[in-house]
Amino acid sequence: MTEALVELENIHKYYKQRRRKLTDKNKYVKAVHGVSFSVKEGESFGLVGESGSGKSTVGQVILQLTDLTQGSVRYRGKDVASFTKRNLKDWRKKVQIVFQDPYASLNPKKTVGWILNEPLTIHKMGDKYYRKNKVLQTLEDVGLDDSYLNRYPHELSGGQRQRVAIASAIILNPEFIVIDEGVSALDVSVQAQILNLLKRLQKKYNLTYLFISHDLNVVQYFCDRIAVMYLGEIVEIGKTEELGTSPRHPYAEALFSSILLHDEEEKRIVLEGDLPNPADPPSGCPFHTRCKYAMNVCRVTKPTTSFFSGEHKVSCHLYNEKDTVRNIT
Amino acid sequence: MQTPILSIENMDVSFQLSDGKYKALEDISFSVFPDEVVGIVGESGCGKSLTSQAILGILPKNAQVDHGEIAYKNNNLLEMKENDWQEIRGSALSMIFQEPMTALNPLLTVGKQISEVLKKHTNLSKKTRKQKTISMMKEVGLSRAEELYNSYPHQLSGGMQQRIVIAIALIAEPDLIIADEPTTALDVTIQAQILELFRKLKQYRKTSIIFISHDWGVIRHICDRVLVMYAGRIVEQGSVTEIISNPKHPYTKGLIQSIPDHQKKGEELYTIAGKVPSLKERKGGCPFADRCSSRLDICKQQFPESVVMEGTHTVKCHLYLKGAVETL
Amino acid sequence: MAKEKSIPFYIGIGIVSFLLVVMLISIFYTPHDPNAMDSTNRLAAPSLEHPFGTDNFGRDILSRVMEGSQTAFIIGISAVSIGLIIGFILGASAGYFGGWVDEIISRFIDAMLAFPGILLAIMLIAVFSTGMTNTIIALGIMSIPSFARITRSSFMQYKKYDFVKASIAKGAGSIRIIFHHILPNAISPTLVAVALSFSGAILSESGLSYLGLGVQPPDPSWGRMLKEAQPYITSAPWYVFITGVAITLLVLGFNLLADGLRDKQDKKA
Repeated sequence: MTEALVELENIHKYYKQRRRKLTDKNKYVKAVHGVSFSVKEGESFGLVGESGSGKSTVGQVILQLTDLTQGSVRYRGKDVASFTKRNLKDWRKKVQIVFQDPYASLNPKKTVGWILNEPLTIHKMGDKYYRKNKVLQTLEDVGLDDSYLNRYPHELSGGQRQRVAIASAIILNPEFIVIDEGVSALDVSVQAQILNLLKRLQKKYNLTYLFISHDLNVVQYFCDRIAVMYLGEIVEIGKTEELGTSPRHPYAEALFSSILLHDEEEKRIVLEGDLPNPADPPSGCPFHTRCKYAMNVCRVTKPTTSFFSGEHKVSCHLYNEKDTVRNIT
Repeated sequence: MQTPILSIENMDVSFQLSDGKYKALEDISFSVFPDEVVGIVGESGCGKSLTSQAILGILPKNAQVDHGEIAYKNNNLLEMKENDWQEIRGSALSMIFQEPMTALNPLLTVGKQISEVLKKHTNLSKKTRKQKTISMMKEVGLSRAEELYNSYPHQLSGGMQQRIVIAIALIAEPDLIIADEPTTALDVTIQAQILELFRKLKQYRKTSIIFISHDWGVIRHICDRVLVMYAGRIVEQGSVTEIISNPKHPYTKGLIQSIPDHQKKGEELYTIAGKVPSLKERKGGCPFADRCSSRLDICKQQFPESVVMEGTHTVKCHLYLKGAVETL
Repeated sequence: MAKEKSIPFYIGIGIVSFLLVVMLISIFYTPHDPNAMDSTNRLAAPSLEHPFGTDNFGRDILSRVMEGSQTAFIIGISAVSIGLIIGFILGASAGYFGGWVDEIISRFIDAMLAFPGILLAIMLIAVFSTGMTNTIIALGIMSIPSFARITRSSFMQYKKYDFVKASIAKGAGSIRIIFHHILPNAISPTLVAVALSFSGAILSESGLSYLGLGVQPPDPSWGRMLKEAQPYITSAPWYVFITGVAITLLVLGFNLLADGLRDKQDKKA
């Protein structure tokens, strides 16, 4: 039986924009705007979207790296915001993050050994002997050996650095790891190595992943369920098989059509225009400015979420019983 | 047989570093024919960008072409003087870079940056230059060209900036455009727009393009022919469909097989062990030998000759040379 | 990458260490007593006995220049330490905590910067009177803003780095973040500022002493020596020359050092 490990409910995260003049009104960038979903234990949940869609902010909100404007994050049913300082520190052992840029995610002045020891020191885990063993065992887990202990990040290749970042994330035996574009900066052959490694670790340690990426091929390969974000909102969410093969939301449809094979060329949808400014999002449905099916209702009211089979959900007026104009096939 | 616009013969490029000279490109030979899009694929550090820099004569200061010939319509570019070079760059050959923001001058309006090229290479009047610029901007998909003419790069989105860069590259109607990862820095939907634009250009303008990318999806989309580079060498070349459906070189095979997609879900991805050797780590023989799963004894000693597989499909691998053991 | 060779950096190191050695020697040995007057031998030209000649009281200039280097180093080191410690604490808190803490500290720094440095020092000395200690305090306060700003910006920069976020996600507290993650990375830009402030402090001290507001007799000071030498610029040019050279060398040495440090840092980044 799988149950929800992490639940997000109606998450909002607004960033205040710097005022140009003293008399200016406070302006907010709505990075995340009413996002709800839950990640089940043991699954890989994919979060896709373009830059500015708010997908990375969601990851940081879960890890309490940034505070919430509104909404709640629950971990095993408990509201993370209600944790005491002591509980929060304990909880941090269970949730980890791996970032995109392996150059920026390791402290350039510290050796690999120091970096891997740090989490154990923070949580005062075991004695010196235990720590040493744990570090070596974790290095082995990520396919490196003890010759790396005294090296500095700049002496490693991109793939090796990412392995170190992964090692430092799993060393505390976490349950949940956010992988924020964790393989995007790597070359294809290295990317495959890291994806295999993540899969292997998931099996071995029963890890749950939130996999944030803009690369649809990778997400479809890696994840069990996918949520598509656009301008801080989730427009569609569902199982990879359903969403990947027959996306319903016009945005998701266009997104997934960009990775079609050669022989399906004519089905490719090229969206017009750019992503609107998140500080000044369109009224109604955020996608209506680029949507070829846009109706009057789209410009005025935000669509509610409709269900397809089981867990497949879409936020689009096209699928609202009242104003459906297109056949759903 | 058509005459190629550009042909490169046995080109070697080396870097002069403080502790010696290192070969970065070795024995590069290929041609680009009129109305053809040639893709160059490979991982970072394989020499894709260096090849394009050599063609345009904009190699880094410590790099030089040691040997070989780059012929543009029967002119040897390597023997050309700097003045003639400037004439050719921008008018006959032009370049599109990965980062549009760094390719544009932040202090000049975009209209000015496009018409500047015309000013340099033609004798058109100011008014015609502006007209041509605006129609070019429309052609690359900037429908509000008149309004955008006087805007500055930072006022435009990444996708629009890249369209401007493309307009600059196209305005002098070059014979050959070299595009170095032109869509890599862009978002998926914007990337789709720019690729669509390239397809249209290919269709209507008949410009030849050298398209450098690490992304097979993009290559498959846009190229007719593709060169696969590894550690400074071209290891395989042929038509895109042929290479993707029937790759021969173990490196090409590995690259294509390691691309994740939904059909491979649940499977372990194919991986190539190790990493691309750096400039100083390269040894004699086939540079891929250390990572190759079908390595033969000879691979470490000798770099293989080119073998013709089928039509234009050629591969440099001992596995396909006469006398090699048929292990595949 | 090729190993970087920064020639100015080594010249800087050379000059600074030479002067440091001179200063150390002068603590134990000077050719003559720097304060011994000899009215029969005033403004003597350089000779074997007095390699740089004597001043208007017949004191040996070489000995006085050597003795003066002590003052220069004491003032440089103490003033920079004051500026560094206070500036670093202010800048680090502003950069790390951000928000209203940053707002208050930054405005305070801006206010300090509104006064030209030397004017601020003169003002402080006018209030607290002249002397070595007050000169040091004034020059130290003068260099607070530059340290505060540099520290603030590197703290702000590194606070945003993924490795800092990753460490917070692992449960690290502020103290660990500041001392293990930000500080080691913020040190190199600060070192450049230290070298620059050092030469700045020495130059300002010379300026103040020249105006008679700095170090008071009998403590020897290059700036005051320059002032004393001025009336004799035609009759005993070596006096002005040698004092000027001493000041220039020290300032040049530290500036080259700073340039070299900055180059190394840029190359790494």
